[in-house]
This record gives sequence, structure tokens and C-alpha cells, in this order.
Amino acid sequence: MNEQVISGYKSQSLGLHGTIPGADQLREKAFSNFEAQGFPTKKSEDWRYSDMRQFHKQAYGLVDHAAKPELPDMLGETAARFVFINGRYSEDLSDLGDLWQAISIRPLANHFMSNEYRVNELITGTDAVSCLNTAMLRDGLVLSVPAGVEIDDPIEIVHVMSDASNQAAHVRHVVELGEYAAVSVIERFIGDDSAYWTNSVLQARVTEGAKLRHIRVQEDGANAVHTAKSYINLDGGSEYICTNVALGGKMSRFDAEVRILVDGAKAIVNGVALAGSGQSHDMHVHISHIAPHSSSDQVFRTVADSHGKTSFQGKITVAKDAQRTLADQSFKALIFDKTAEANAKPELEILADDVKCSHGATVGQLDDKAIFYLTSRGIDPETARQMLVAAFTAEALEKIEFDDIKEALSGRIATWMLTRTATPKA
Amino acid sequence: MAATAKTKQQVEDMSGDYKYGFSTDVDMDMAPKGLSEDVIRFISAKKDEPSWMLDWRLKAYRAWLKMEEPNWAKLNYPKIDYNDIYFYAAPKSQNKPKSLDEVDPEILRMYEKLGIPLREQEVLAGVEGAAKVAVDAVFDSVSVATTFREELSKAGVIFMSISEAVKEYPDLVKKYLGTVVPQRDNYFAALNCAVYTDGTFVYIPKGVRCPMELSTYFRINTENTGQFERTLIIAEEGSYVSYLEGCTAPMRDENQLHAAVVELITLENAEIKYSTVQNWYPGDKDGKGGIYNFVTKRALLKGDNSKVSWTQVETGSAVTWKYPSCILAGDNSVGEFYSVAVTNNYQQADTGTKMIHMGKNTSSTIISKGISAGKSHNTYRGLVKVLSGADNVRNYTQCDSLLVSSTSGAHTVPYIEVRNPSAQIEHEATTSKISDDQLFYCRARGLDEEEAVAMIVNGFCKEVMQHLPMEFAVEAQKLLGISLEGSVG
Amino acid sequence: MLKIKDLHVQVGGTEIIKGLTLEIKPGETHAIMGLNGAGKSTLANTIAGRDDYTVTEGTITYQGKNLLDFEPHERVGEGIFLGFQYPVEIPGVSNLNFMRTALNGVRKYNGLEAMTAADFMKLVRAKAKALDMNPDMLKRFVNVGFSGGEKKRNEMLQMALLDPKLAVLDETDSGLDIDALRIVSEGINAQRRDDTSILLITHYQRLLDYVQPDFVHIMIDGKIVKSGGKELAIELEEKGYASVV
Repeated sequence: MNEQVISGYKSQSLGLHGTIPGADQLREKAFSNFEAQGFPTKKSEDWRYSDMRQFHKQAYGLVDHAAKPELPDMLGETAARFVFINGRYSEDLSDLGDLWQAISIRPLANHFMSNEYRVNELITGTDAVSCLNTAMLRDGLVLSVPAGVEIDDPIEIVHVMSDASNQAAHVRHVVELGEYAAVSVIERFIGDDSAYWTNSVLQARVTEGAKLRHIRVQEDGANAVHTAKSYINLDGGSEYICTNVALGGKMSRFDAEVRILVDGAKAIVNGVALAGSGQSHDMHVHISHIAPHSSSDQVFRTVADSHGKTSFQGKITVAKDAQRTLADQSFKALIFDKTAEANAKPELEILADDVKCSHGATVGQLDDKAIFYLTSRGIDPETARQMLVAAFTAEALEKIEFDDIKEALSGRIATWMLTRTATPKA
Repeated sequence: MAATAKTKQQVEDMSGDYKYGFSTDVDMDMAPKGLSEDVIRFISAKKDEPSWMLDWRLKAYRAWLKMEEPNWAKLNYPKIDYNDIYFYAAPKSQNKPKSLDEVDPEILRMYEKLGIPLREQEVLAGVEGAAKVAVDAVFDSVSVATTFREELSKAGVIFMSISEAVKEYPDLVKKYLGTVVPQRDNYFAALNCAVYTDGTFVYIPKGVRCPMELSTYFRINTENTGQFERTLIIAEEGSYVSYLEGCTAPMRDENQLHAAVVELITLENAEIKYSTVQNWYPGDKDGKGGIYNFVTKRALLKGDNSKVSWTQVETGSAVTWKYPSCILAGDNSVGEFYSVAVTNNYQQADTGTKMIHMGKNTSSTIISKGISAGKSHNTYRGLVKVLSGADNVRNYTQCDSLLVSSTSGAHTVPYIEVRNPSAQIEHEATTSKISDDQLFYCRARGLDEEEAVAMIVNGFCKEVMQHLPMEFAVEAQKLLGISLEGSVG
Repeated sequence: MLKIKDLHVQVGGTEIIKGLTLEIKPGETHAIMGLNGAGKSTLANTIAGRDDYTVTEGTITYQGKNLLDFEPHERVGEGIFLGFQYPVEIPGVSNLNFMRTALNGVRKYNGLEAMTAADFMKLVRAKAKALDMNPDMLKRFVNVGFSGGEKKRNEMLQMALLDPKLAVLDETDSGLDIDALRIVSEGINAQRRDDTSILLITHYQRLLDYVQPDFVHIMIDGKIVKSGGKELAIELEEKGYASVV
């Protein structure tokens, strides 16, 4: 691996020394872990479908200017909005609403100082890209919901990148749910056409009976590289419901690592990816059933247009003691022409015997018969295709409990269908 | 191999233990232990090979030295010491016998004990209605007998050991050897190219439907020996052959290495049906001993409208690493893979297939059934790949795993890579335990627990078993039951 | 034939049968009626010897032997047959193969020679015909894709083949239309002899119009709370559980 790239990141990480009291050691440790691994290559099994070359060529710098970009409208009714510009928390642009009365939610840096939540100990991540995120620890949110508190409307976290070519933002969020608490977090990623890299990590501990809804909407700029990882730990009877929507960026990667640690928890991880010309979306899910009587479900739908590529690696592991596990996974991909590509690796690793696990995967194009049926009722073929793609992707949006947000996302998909570059041949 | 009633009886008589575990006392001719260019020269000289063959071997050996043993499979075994293996062991008798009368009687007795009475099979030739199976018997590394040669040659079919073919049909061998599995394809294939000692060569001429099933019976006998056979089957335009393969080995405390290469080529409108019942010694209840089975099997469907069907029943070996594959190059070609893999005790199997769709309108079917018992691990690993020029590809894959014990593992690792929009790829996989309801229902109808398990497992494997030739299916079904004995409770 | 004394049965740690006593003599047909959750199916499964059905107290004596000493398949050999409420599907196993294996298992248990394939085919065809079964059902996989009525007929066919001394029929009438009910009832009546006994478990009185029981028992919360003759079932049908008990 390129020495210059490594030393570039090393000096960046060292440059952050003293910015957050108590975080220096953590960064150092993470950096040496990153250094030992280096960036993944195509040979790394977990990254086989992503082109990692840009990471080996140059070290992305840390952005050090605060832009004033225009903010997008909210996706729907929200309880609060937190804004990060080029990886830094912007107090001015954020709106906490009434939330502060019910829960604790603060910039990550403050928590290190107060030592209230021992964030230092909570920070996890072992793969190279997450380690680099930790080595660049600078900003993020710590969201802590006390036991029994349920927040109805979602909390929106908007990440905006602006004028940041060859620069990166490494944001880290920590979510802590007390027993029987419930919260919904929407993470949004947007940016301009500069060739930036956003590398974010969200980690959550969902304690007994609690429920975390997580919606991710990735609409990064056309030249952006997006990597993201969610580390989710689930306690007894808790629930994690995640929907990931990948639309933007040149290359995007979403990685969910969900561990079911105590009996009876339930994990749902769904996703939609639409890849237009030159885009590659890679989604990677690992649900690990460590405790018995738990269930998980995955529904992924991807569409690859001309010169687009979608990939999915979904792994279910069931540990020896995780009896009575129910796990299901469904992956379906559409590809529109010969320059498009769809890859899938649905994997099962089962070490308990009293389980029911299954996966199904299909790759193909829109059903000609369905298009014909719609057109024979007077619908033009392009609209027919849009309708069918909407129906196809809707299955993966089903678990979003907020109708306005679900509608907004369906709208995004319809727009993508309208504006995409090529019309597929029937 | 299983054509005679005697074989069936043999299998019926087997109890729970591995019944092929005896060894045979035969005078052997051996190369020195270990691997070097000298050992390869020794093997080549022993076989009196032409110089091009030796050069080919040496090239592979040099490539192998620079390669690394693959470690991506879900297999765990101690490092193999390639210098502690005999790469050549042959019954001392010499030149290949012209008739069975010249074969060492000790070897004939061994094959009889295995249920393959070579002599009887020839005698059976005159009996009307008896199913005929021509057998090539490979003992340790060397072909000791091939039956029915004359009758086959009347039809123009060449069925002989590959060593003979190198001498008798050098042009055919040169033309095809290593074209489906290149020397550097993988570590074990390269090793095989360097040291292969024998194997089977089959050539079916244009338009010929092979008049009988062809079969090779592999037997590892000598201690510390590796077995490295090669099989090359060429089906010319419009021809058809059904080929069967069986394997056993004595029970020994040490692990023995088996690294074979099988290459199939089908030209236009040709079809090869390749069936395997793999029953190498699996090791004992504590995981001691057993065969390490690293096999590269691949078919090139070169001609349009050709078809290759792999059917395998894998019950043996301590470690299995095997992915019989199809390169579907010809338009409208059809690839099939039907597999049952049973692991018990400490066995590990990592097996599956690759279907590479290059031609238009090509289709493939993959049905894999894995059964894990004891403390074993059973992995399905497969790839379905559709290149951008391959229009209208169809694939259907179904992988089911059945867990018979709480200490075993069942893993499914499929890869799907598609670059053509007209492809229709469907993949389904399930993992579940043997159902309590089914077991109780069977027991409530008077079956004991082992019978009930055997019945349910056989039902689970039905879709695969029905693709085996009749005689083989009977034996394979019994093998399933035997492999799982002692796994219940 | 069967003597159950103060039977207590737990399933998954919960007591379902709480002190049940019942005696069935040869030649008798008994019906147990009760609402869902009364423990009727638990009783049937316990007699057949299902794992996880733990007898904590009491005894079951069958033909003078302690039934609880026998494995499930041995009980079949001893002449007990359970007709399932929900017959199980076994993909890949043909119905014929299944029944032949079962029959020969029972014959072997009783020291009889295995029946040849030809004799078996003759027997099974005759029995299937009596039940008005489509011969095609014999070749299909056990219960796979069978309608509710076909499954129940298949149970009756198995009963006819195994010719049990004691048949325990769990909700055999559920999901049957009137024609199927009549055919199934004929199957049951054909099994009634001086030396055989039948225990019917049912929700409704309907079946009892076709198979007239000698005794009717009402089961509530794991116990038999009232016993009587055929008239008890009619009374129950007219007045409901609340007023009868």
C-alpha cells in the first residue's frame, strides 16, 4: 500500500491531537489498527464488488472550511434536525425542537469532556475503514434516550458536503437506547459535485425492549465516494428496523453489522439502490444471531441502469447456542442493459440445528408480460416501467413507518426513473 | 461399477462402519517420498512417456512451486507436508495386462471384495438383458484393468487409461489436455499436472451413443500415498456417454491426499452425463485419518446445443474441496449440477459448482442438498456468472441444508454475477433441522428413529438421486443411511 | 384394552392434562368432546408417545402392559394407531414407500415376514378403493399438496393397512365436506370389531351421527368432567357446554 497515503492520514490524525480531551489515545490505537490492515483491495472478500483504487492513490484531506450551502427540505415531519457541514456540527443550522427536554443529545466532543457516557469505551470498529473513521474522530452526535422514553417523530441528521474535492469527512454517531425506549433516526447525505469522500459510522446499543428505527438516504454528489458502517448491538426483545436508500455518489458502500446478543431480539435491514451511469452501489449486511429465539429479515431491491452496478452481500450467521432462530433474506435485482451489472452473495453460516433460515435471490429485467398488460390498458411503456420499478422497490421500503417519508422516497425513485440516462430496450 | 446384484448385496450387508476399510497386500513399485523434478522424471520414465509429456509436467511443477494453497474454503486441516507423500505407487507387476488373466489375483480379489467383480462383468457380457458397465480400475495411481475394451472399440469408443492414451492417441491428448483446466488454474490442479500417474481417457466419436455405461473405480491402497488421477472425456458432435465414478480407500490413521483433475469437452449436440459416488474413507468417529479430497472438475461445453450433467453423492473423505463446473460457451448449451453431500463426525465438505454462461440461450440448473450430522461442517459454495454477450440465460439454483445435530454446521455461499439484462436468475436456499413433526409422524407409523431419519433424508435428497443411473441410485441411497448411522439421538 | 388412571401430562413445563381417568374395553367406541385447549390432542399425542409430552403422574395401561415403557414406533407394533389432526407433509417420500415401510416395520415387530411388493400393492389398492381414493395419491409424496379431505382419507388408508387394535382419531372429521365425512366414517366403522377399540376426539357431534359411540366423555381443562352415552353428545350440541356441565 502506498506509503504516502498512509503517512498522509497519519499526519492528519496527529494533527487532531488535543482537539478532544481524552480522544488522542483512541485515535492512535485506531490508526495503528488501520495501518496494519491498509485499505481493502478487490481481493478482500468483503469488498470484492467495490472499486477501491481511489483510496490507494491519494489520502483525502480533512475539510477545514465551513461552507454555507443550501439545506434540503425535511423529508417529512421531524422532531429535530441536526446539521453537519463538511463533517463539522453546525449549531446555527440545527434545530433541536423540544427534544432536549426528553433526551440527551449533544455533539460528541462535549461527551468526551464530561465523560458522562464513557463514549471512549463505546467506540467500536475493527475494519480498516471504520478504524480510519476513529483515527479521524472529530465530530458527531451522541444521542441518548432514557429508559421508557418514546420519541414519536424522527430525528433528522443531515450531512452536507460542499466544495470539498479530495477531502473527507469522518463523522461518528453514537446512539444509546435505555430499556423500552424508542427513537427514529434519519441520516441524510447530500453534497455538491466536488470529488469528496464521506466516511460515516453510526453505532447503537439497543437495550432490552427498546426499538431503533433507522432510515438512511444517500443522495451524495455525482463525484462523491460514500462509505458508511452501522454497528448495532441488540439486547433482549429489542428491535432494529433499518432502511437504506442509495441514490447518489459515484461509488457508495453501506455496511450494517447487527449483533443479536440477547434472546428474542428482532432485526430488519432493508435497502434500495438505484445505480445510473458510472455509479456503483455496494450494500453489505451481516446479521449475527448470537442468542436464541431471535429473528431477522432482509429485503433488498436494486436497479442497475446502463453502466451502473449494484452489489449485495448479505450474510446471516447463527451461533451454536442461537436455537430457534428465524432468518430470512430476499434480494432482487433488475438490470437494464448489457453494460449494467448486478452481483449478489447471499450467505448462510449456521451452527445451531433448530433454526429456519432461508434466502432467495433473483436477477433479471422487468417482466415483459407485465409491461404488455399495462400498455394494453392504455399506459405508455415508459410509465409502465416506472410503475413496475416503483412496485419492485416498494417491497424494500415497506418497513418505513412514516408515510410522509415513505412517499418522499418513492418520489425520489420515480424521479430517478424519469431522469435516468437511457431507456432500456424491451 | 454397481451393476451387479453382488454389489447391491455387498452394500446391503454393510453395517454402520466403513466397510471398504481393508487394505490389500500387493507388491508395490514406489517413487521416493516427496516431490522434486527428479521424482517427476522418475514418474514419467516409469510410464515411458514421450518427452512432450515430461516437459508439460515440469512446466506445471515449476508453476506449482510459486503458487499458494488456497485458503478461502471453509475447511480446517493441518498443513499438508508434500515431502511426506509418495507420489507414485504402482502394483509391481509391470506392463498393463492384456487380459484379466494377467492381473494380479490379489487385486482381482480386492475388487471383488469391493463389489466390482471385474471378471464377472466380462462374463456377464454374454448374458442377455444384463446391464453392461465397462470398468477402468485405478489402483493407487495406476490403471490395473479395463473391461469391455473390444466391444467398445467396435463402436469407435476409446476407453483406456490415460497413460496408454498418451502413447496411443498423442494428438487427441495433446489437443485437449489442460484446455479446460489450465495448469495454473489452482494449486491442486497444478500439482496434479506435475505428478498425475494415471486416470481415464474417453473419446466418443461423432454421432455415437456409447453402447454402455463407462465407469472408473478408484482405490487408494498403499500407505502415505497420494492419488492424482486425471480424467479426460471428449464427446464429439452428436455423441452421448454416461460415465460413472466410484472411490474407496482403506481405513488408516493418517490422512491421505487425493488431488484429481477431470476435464470434459462436449462439441455440438453432444452430451456427457457424469455421476460420482464419492466414498473415500472419511476418518473415524474422532476425526482421525481420512482422505483429503481436493478435486478440480470442469466441463467445457464448446459446441452449440451440448449438455453436461454432473451428479454427485459425496459421503466420504475427511475433507472435500470440489466444484464440478460448466463453462457454457456454445449457444443453447445446458449445464446441470445435482449434488448430495453428507457429512458426519468430523468431516468437512466445501463443495458446489460454477456455471459460467458465455453462450446465448444457455441454461443451468443447480440442486444441492447438504446434510450435516455429528460435529461436521458442510458448505455449499457456488458461482453463477452471466457475461454480457450471453443473451437469454436461465439459471435456477436451489440449495437446501438439513441439520441432523446441534453440533454441526451448514453453510451456503452462493455468488451471483450478472451482466446481461435478459438473464433470469433464480436462487433459493433454506436451512432447517430435521422436523420433529415429520420424525414423530414416521414413528407413529412404526418406524424406529434411524429408519425415520433415513427415510426423511432420502426424501430430502430425492431430486438429486433421481438423476443417478438406476444401479448407482440404489447404492447411493443405502450409503446415505449408513453415513448417518449413529448420528441420531 | 386401555386403562388410563389419574393421568397428568406436561407440555413444555405447563400441565395440560390434570388427572384424567378413562377405561376403554375391547369392542367399545368412545368419544371425547371438548373445546379448544381442553387437552384432547395432548391426550392423543401422549397415548402415541410423542416426545416433550411428559407424564408426571398416573398410569396408562394397554393390554396389561405399561404403555409408557414403549417407544412411539413400538406402540404401533403393539396395535395403537393415531390419526393425526394435521397429517404431516414429507416431501420426496412417496406415499407407497412410506406405507410399505410402516406396514413391514409393524409386521417385523410382530414376528411376521415382510410383505412382498406385489401383495402389498394388491392390498393397498383394495383399501384405497374402499376409501374412494384416487390411485394417483398413492404415488405422490406423503401428504404433499393433498387437500384437507385427501389428507384425512390418507390417514384412514394407513389405519386400514396397519389394522390397529386401538385407533385414536384426533379431529378426523375436521375440514371434511359431507361426502368425505361419510367415506371417512365408513372407514372408521369398518375398523369397529369385537376385538378393536376406537377413541374419537372431536369438537362436534356431527361425526357421531355416522360413527355411533358407546360412550361420550366431556373434557374440560385437562379432566373428564362428565360421561354418558350417545345422548350426551346430542344434549351438548343443543345446549352448549356451559349448561351441560
